[in-house]
Amino acid sequence: MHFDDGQTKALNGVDLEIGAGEFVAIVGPSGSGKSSLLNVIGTLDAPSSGELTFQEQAYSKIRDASLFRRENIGFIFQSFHLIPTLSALDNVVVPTIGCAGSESEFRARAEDLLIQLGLRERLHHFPNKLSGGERQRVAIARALINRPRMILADEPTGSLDSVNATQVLDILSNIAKQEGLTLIMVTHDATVSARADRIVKMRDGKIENTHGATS
Amino acid sequence: MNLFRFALDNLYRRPARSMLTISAIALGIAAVVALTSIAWGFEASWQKANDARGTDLIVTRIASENTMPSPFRSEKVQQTLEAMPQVKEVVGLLSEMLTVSEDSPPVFVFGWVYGSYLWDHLKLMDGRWPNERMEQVVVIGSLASEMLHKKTGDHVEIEGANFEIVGIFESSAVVENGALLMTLDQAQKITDKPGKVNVLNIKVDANASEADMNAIKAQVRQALPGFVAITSGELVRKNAVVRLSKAMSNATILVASLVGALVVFNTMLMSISERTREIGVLLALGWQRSTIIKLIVSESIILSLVGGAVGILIGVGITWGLEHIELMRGKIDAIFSLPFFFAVLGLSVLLGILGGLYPAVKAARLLPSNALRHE
Amino acid sequence: MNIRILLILFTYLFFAEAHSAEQEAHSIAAMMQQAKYSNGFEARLNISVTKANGAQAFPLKLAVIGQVAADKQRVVIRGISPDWVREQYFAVEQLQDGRIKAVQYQTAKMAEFSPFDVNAKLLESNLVAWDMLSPWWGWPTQIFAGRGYINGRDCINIRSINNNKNAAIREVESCVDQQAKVSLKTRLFGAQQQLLRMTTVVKLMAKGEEGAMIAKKLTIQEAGKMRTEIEVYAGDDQYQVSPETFAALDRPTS
Repeated sequence: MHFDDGQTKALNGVDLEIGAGEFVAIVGPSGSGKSSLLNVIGTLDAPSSGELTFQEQAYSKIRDASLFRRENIGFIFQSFHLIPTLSALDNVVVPTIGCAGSESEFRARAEDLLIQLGLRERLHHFPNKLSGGERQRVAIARALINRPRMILADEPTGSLDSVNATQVLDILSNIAKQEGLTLIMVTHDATVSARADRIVKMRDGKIENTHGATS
Repeated sequence: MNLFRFALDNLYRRPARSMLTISAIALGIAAVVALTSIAWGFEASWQKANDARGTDLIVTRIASENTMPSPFRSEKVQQTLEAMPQVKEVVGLLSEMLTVSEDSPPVFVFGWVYGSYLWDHLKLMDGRWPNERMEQVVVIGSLASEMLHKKTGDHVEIEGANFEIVGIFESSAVVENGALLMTLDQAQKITDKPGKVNVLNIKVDANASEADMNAIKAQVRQALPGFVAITSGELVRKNAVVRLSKAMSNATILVASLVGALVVFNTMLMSISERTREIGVLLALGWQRSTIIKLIVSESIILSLVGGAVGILIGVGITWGLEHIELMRGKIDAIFSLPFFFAVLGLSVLLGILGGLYPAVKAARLLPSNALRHE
Repeated sequence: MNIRILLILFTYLFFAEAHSAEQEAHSIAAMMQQAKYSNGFEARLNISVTKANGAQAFPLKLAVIGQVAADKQRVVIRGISPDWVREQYFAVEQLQDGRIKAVQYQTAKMAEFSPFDVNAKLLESNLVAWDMLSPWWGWPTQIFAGRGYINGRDCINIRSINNNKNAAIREVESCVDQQAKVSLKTRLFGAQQQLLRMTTVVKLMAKGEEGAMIAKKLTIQEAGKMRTEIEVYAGDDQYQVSPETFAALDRPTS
C-alpha cells in the first residue's frame, strides 16, 4: 500500500501480512515510515492507495472507525499519554465511556487488570505519583480494557530504564500470548525486537526485509 | 467514572478560567433576573392591588401614558356602566402622586368612595377608619408610616390641607402599603376635582364568565367613546415607564445571552486547543466522535448552568436591594416565581449548548494522528 | 440682459422668502395663541427658588387655573402651601383689545380686593402674572429669526416686538417647537434691550392628542440673580370652572 501524509511518501509500496497472535516488531531508522505504518494499521490514518484487511474485513469498508478501534485495537504510546488529573483506575476506565455496559462492570474489570499488572497498591494514585514503568503498565491495562484483538505499541519502552523496559516487555508478550492477541510493536531497540516472532525492517517507506524466529 | 464526572474533572483542571467564565455568565444572568423581575413586578403589583380589592375590571380614559389616567366626571359614565348586564357594582377612585413631606419622595394618595367594597381587604393595624364621608382624616399604609416617620395621631399636610392620621393599615399589595388613603370626597376637595375620578372599579356578578367580561369591554368601547374597560394589569402594561423597563429587560436578555454564549464559546475553544493531544488519545482509544461532542457540550453546560444558578442568586439579591432604596420603596413588588427561575436556568443551558457546539464539533473532527503529534 | 433677469429673479425670491418667513412667523404666533385655548385647566406646581446668593427658599405649592378663548384670557394663581402663601389669590385677565386687569385677594371669602402690578414678581419668586398670559403672541410685529435646536428638539426662533413704547417688556424672543406647540426658550427684553428674564423648558410631557405637549419642568432665570424651578406635579386639563373661579375679575373696577 501507499500512504502519502502530504509532505513525503511516508509509505511507498508496503506489502505485509501478519498472522493472528503474532508478535511483530517493526524496526528501522527514523523517517523510515514505521510510525506511519502503525498509524495506518491502527486506522489513525488512511492509505492514499492500497488495501488493508483485518480478518477478512476491508478497512476501506469500515463505517465507524472509532467503533472498529474500540473493538479491535489497543494503543500504547511511548510517552504513556495518561490523563494527569485522573487516578490510575479512572484512566483505565476512560476508553469505556460512552459504551454500552454497566459502569460497575467496567470498573471491576479495570481493577482486575491493574491488580494483574501488579498495581494493587496504586489503584487511586495519580500519574504524577507513579514511576515510568508503573505508568506504562496503567497504559497497558487501559489498552486491554475493551478486549481488543491486537495491540499496537509505538516505542513502548522508549521512555523507560532497562529494568522497567524488560518488565513491560515481559508483561506485554505474556499477555499477548495468554489472550491470543496480535502484538505489533514499533521499536528501535534491538533487545526489544529480539523478543518478537518476526522482525520487519523498514527503510525509506519500504520494507527492506523481514526475518522471524520461524524463518 | 462517567462522562459527567470526567467533564466536571476537566473543569476543575483550570479553576481560574472556569471561575471567570461562570462569573461572566452569572453577571449577565443577574442583570436579566433583576430587570425582568422589576419590570414585570411593577405590572404585577398593580394587578395584585386590584385583585386584592376584588375589582374585576377598571374603566378609564383612553390613551394615557402617565401612571394615572386623567380624571373625568364620573356621573354619566357610572350610570351607563351600572346599566350593563353582569355589572354588580361600580365604585370610583381618585389617585394622585403627591409630596406630603419635605424629606420623602412623593407618595400615592388614594381617594376611595366611603363605605365601598374597596376598603374591605385592608387590615387595620392601629387606630380607626374614617367615620364619615367628609371627615378630613387619612389612614396610611404600614410602609408609608415607615417612610414618612408618622404614626396614628400625627398630622400631615396634603395640598395645603391639614389631615390627621387616624389609623395605620396593611395591604397585601405593596402599592397600597406605601400609600395614603382618604375618602373620595376629601380627595376630590383637595385636588379641586369635584365629582371626578380617574378610575371606575367594576365588580361583576359572581357567575360572570370570560365571555361576559369581553362583552362588557366591547360595550364600553361602543357606548363610551374615549373610554376603555381593562384589567389593571393591562392599564399598567400601557404605561410608558413599564413599557420602557420591559423593553430594557428584553434587550438585557438578548445582550446577556449573546455575551454568555460568546464567553462559553471562547472558553471552550481555548480549552480544546490546549487538550488537542489528549483528544487525539481519546479518539485513538476508541472514543466515538459523538462522545467527544457530548463531553465538550457537557462541560459548557455545566459552566453555564452553575453561572445561571449563581446569577439567579445575585439577581435576587440586587432586586431585594433595589426594593429597599428610599426612592423605590412602596413602588415595586418584584415577582419571583419558580417557573421564571426554571426559564432562566433553561436559558443558561441553551447558552451552554450554543457556545459549546462549535468547539465540540471542532474537537470531534480532529484527526487522531495529527492530534497526537501536537505539542 | 440675462444677468438683469437673474438679478430681478434673485431679488424677488429674496423678498418672497422674507415675506413667506414673515407669514410663517405670524402663523406660528397664531398657532401659539390657539394652542392655549381651553374651557378650563388646572396645573399644580412645585416651585423652588434659588436666591441670588445661592440660598434655597422653602418650596412653594401653587395651583394655576385658566380659561382661554379668542376674546378673553383668564388665569388665577392660588397659593396652597406653606402657610404664608396659603389662600393668596392672584387673578389676571386679558381682553382681545389688549387690556389687562390684575386683582389680588386674600381668602376664598373674597374680601379685600386690591389691584396688583401684573409685571411684578409674585410670592418672592420669578413668577410674573404677565408672562402667564403670553400677550406677545398677539402683537402685530412677529419676525422670523432662524432655526434653533434645544434639548434634542428642533425649534423656530420668533421675535415678537411690542408696539407699546411704554411697556416694561419691549421684545420677546421665543424658540417654538412646532410639533409640541411649546416655546422651549423664551427671553424677555426691557426698554434698553437688556435681558430681564429667560424661561427654559427642561422637560415636556404629552398632552393627550397628536403630539401636542406641555411643559413638565421649567426654569425661570432672572439675569444674574434669582432662579425659579417649576415642576408640574398634577393637573386637570378639563377643569370645572365655576362662577366663583374668576368672580374677582368680574367685579367692577373701583
